[in-house]
Amino acid sequence: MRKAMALILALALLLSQAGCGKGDTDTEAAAGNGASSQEQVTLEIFQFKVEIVDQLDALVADFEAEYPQIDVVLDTVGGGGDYAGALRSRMNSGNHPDIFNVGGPSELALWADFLEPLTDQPWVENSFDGTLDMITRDGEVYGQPYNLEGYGLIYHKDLFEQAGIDAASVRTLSDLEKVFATLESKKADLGIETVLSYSVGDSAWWTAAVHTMNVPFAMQEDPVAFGDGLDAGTASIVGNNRFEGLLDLFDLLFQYSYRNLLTVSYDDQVANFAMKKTAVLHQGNWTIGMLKEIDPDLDMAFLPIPLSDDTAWNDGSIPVGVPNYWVVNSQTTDAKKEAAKLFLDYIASSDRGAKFLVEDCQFIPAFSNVDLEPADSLSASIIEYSKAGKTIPWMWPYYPAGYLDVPIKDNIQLYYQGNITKEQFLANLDKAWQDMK
Amino acid sequence: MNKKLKKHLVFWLFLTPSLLAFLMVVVLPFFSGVYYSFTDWNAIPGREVGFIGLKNYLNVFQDVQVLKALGTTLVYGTYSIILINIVGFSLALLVTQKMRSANLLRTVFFMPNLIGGLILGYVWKFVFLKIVPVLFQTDFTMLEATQTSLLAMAIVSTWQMGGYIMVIYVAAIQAIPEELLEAADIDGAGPGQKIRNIVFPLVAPAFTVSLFMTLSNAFKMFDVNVSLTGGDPARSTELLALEIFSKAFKELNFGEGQAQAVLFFILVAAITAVQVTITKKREVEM
Repeated sequence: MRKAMALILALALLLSQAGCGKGDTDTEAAAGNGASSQEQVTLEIFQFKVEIVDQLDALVADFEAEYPQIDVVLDTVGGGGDYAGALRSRMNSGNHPDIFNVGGPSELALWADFLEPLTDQPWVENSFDGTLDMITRDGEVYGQPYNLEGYGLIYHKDLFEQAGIDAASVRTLSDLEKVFATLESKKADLGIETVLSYSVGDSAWWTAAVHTMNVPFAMQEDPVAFGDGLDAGTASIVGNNRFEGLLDLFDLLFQYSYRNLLTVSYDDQVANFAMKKTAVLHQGNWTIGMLKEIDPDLDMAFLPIPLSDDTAWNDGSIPVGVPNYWVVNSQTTDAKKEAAKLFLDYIASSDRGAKFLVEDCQFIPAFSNVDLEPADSLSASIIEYSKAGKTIPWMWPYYPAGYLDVPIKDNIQLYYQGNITKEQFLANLDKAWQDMK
Repeated sequence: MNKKLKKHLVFWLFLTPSLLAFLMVVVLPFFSGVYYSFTDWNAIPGREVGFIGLKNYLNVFQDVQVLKALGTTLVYGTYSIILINIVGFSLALLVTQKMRSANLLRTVFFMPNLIGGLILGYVWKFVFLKIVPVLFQTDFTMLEATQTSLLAMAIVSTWQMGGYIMVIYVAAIQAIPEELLEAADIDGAGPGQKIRNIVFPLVAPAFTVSLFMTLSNAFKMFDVNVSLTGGDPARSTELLALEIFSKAFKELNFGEGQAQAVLFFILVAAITAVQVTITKKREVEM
């Protein structure tokens, strides 16, 4: 009897040891690779976009075939993971990546010591106007945009047609309310369970906290000046009519979505829409891969996200921006820097890179030299909005570090549960900005 | 002399590797952590680290979220200590009965403990969100309200820790001299009386150990907390360890997070020390 118990315990110990051991051997193997071949350059990439890992692996394989002296090690932390924290760990452990990601002005300032100026790179010329603004400091460009992305209220064109809704008519909050009410009344006919696929928690917490919350910031008369005003204490969220509009929008979204939005995961949110259990999805065009995987025949487009009935606030626009930038670590060896620049230019300037961006990842490229046209309906919809000049910026890269995850998420959930009033919601966000700036 | 030297050599030969590992991954980080708790370090290498004295510690005491997390931890701790010990002890009684499947059952009950807490949390999240509502024909999920979320966490940690605590109780129950139970049988004691008057007092040392382990585990709970609730809704199920993590890695305030961690260490050390002293007095000398 004792023997059996001892055996069990020994087994438990063995298993837990095995679990720990694996990580060590991996790193040793990786270190060994770098040391064994002297002329080889090992390029370490640390990036955040989990949706494109397979596509990047394929790109890296072709890149390595073309430049056999460069060995690329790709590492990804993102999605639900915490890239900002993981990057700090990597940098402090001395295991510096050669290429990593920076989101915008706040992070640009934080990592300034580690950023190699890329102003002389060939793709800078080809980048669309405005895509480099957030990554430029004192006239120097420090990063290469991943792509252009947009989000809004994605709808099924066929369901809207069936319900007799003209999507082009939606410009104001009242318009949106009418659309939702119509869909609600025709739920049985359309075969949907819920009007809107939305979330304020779980793995899709950022739908509300990052994306919906961005709209009032982006709809300020001068968004950047508003952010500076918050920093200087001359502007405030309390008393700003855009934020009052946001709360009206929240009420509308909460009313027409699931019974409980706290436990809706990203997978559920997107999959329910793809299976036409909902007619509208609050997400961006990065969901296209997932949507097409479930149903390749979906035909979709974007509705704008309005905050009020005042059309002077840029209502009728969707937020479009650059999700993240590739940057080169300035504190690495010259050989690695050269290899890193070569890799980034391979993405932006080569034909293989164009195929990677447009066909493999279904991105909207940020470079004018890429002449492939995005084929999917979501990208097409975003391009349509862009051509009509109906876009508003992404402002969260200007927020103080850490502002999104804790204060905004927390307060949206509290407001959703009815634990705080509208006034408290706005005041809490003001206070958190002051505490964190 | 030679023999003594050899003994020393063997002693240190075996001790050094684990001692080195312990120094490197526990002792050194602990002291560097204490150092960082007095600074405004923001984890960007190359930046000057400013020494700001006790400011981080003063901030901790003004942080409403810390108090809230402490309260949440106490509630969760109460649930989990009670559940784990009841389940662990019951399982121990069950598998020390004379039955054929006792050995198999021990292994089975212990198995959940071999699965990592993170994975457990994700698996149980699926159970709570997708299976339980179907089973009970309800829209309500345990993870959407604060109190039921905490209970859900306690259930998961019971599932995980129950078998481990069972092993401790099994060892104690098996150490009870057979003649005591036999004598009780002859005197006509029922099973309830035997458990109350013989088993309970004699497994008191195991009870000390189990209570100590479950209490400190409840305070240090992190993995299931992250994967099962992540602190949602609105940080109301955020236990102390996760609160510290949020402060450091989400708000990116490493100095204050580290100050919280130091205070957390003192708190856990104090609680467990008090508990061990109290329960030691209840032990019966054989």
